[in-house]
Amino acid sequence: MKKGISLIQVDKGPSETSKKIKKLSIYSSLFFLVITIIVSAGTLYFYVLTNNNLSENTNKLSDLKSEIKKLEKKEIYLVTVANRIDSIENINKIRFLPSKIINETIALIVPGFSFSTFELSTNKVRIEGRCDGLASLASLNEKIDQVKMEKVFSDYSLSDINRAKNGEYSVALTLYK
Amino acid sequence: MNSKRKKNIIKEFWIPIFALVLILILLVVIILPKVQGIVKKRDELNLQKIEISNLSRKLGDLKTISESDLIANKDLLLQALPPQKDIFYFMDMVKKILSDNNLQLAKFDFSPGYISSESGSEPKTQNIKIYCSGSFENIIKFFENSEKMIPLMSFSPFKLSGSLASGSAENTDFTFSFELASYYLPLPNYFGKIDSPLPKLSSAKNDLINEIKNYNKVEFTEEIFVPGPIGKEIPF
Repeated sequence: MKKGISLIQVDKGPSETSKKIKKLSIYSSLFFLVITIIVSAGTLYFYVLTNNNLSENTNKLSDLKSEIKKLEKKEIYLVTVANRIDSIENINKIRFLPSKIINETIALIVPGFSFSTFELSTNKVRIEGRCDGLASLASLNEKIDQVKMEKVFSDYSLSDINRAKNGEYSVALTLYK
Repeated sequence: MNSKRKKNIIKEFWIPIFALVLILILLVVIILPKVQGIVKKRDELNLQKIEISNLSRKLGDLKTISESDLIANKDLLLQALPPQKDIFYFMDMVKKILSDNNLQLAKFDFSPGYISSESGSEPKTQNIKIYCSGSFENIIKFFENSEKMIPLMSFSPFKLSGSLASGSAENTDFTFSFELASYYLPLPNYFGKIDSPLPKLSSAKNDLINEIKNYNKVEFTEEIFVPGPIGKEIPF
């Protein structure tokens, strides 16, 4: 019997390679889908968790604020104390308190010395007086040197020294802080 | 590519195509917006944590501070630096200090200024110019005592005229004039918000408070003229 050649195209079905490609694409797409679903679920979980934490903290904050509100008076007192003491510190830096400088100056009064004017400013004392003789003038000068060495005053000047007929010396003493 | 072939491809690869579409939808609808949301909320959460820690610390500090000590310090410091001027009290106080220290008041000048609500953060002064006389010893005593009095005062430079000699019987009274300033400062308009930190009092400031506790206040045995409230009221 003769065998004829058929010219009609016969459908042999998909090749092995295309089958493999199809299988691979299905598995890989399903794999990525599963991964995406897991990631989505995880994202949703963290989102909800963060939201819960936020609302938990909001409650905590409002509790803390209401507790602090109950102690508001204490805070007002403390703010007032801080406000006053800050200002008092500043005032103390500028207020002029003469007693210390007066006491330091009267340490200079030696026997035989008397003064008639005592002028005081923040950094200077000027005394006008008289010494009843050369001895008291010398001891005044000695005393000033001593005080200067103790660094009570930074500088001094003994000026306008005039000898009167009765042997007294008028002096003007300026001391600098 | 004809439509039949397209249909075949879709038919063969519908699962990967469906999966891809689903992945895109999940990405656009859930993952991207929620991740952005999480990042934003994390920032909020961090801020909340900081606020919680600050408020917890503040609450702890407030609980440990003794209210009676605070009230005592507040009252003391409001006397040392009053919130408003009171020239009549100041005048009486000066007269009393001078007489307590045996100084003779010749006269004084003052200008009451405006009596109104004032504000500001810098201390202000009310001033009295005093003309008086007394022994040098009493003058020193006067300065020493006045410096440790509340309300706080400051003196202007001055000149004493008289005569003083060491161990001499010829000592005369000194006359002098000076300006005495008493400080006052209006209360702050703002007493702190709930979330603002508590002011800290350093040890130097606590020492200063303790020092002021030893200061004296003029006590009047007879009733003095006290005018009604001036300016801003004290909210205590």
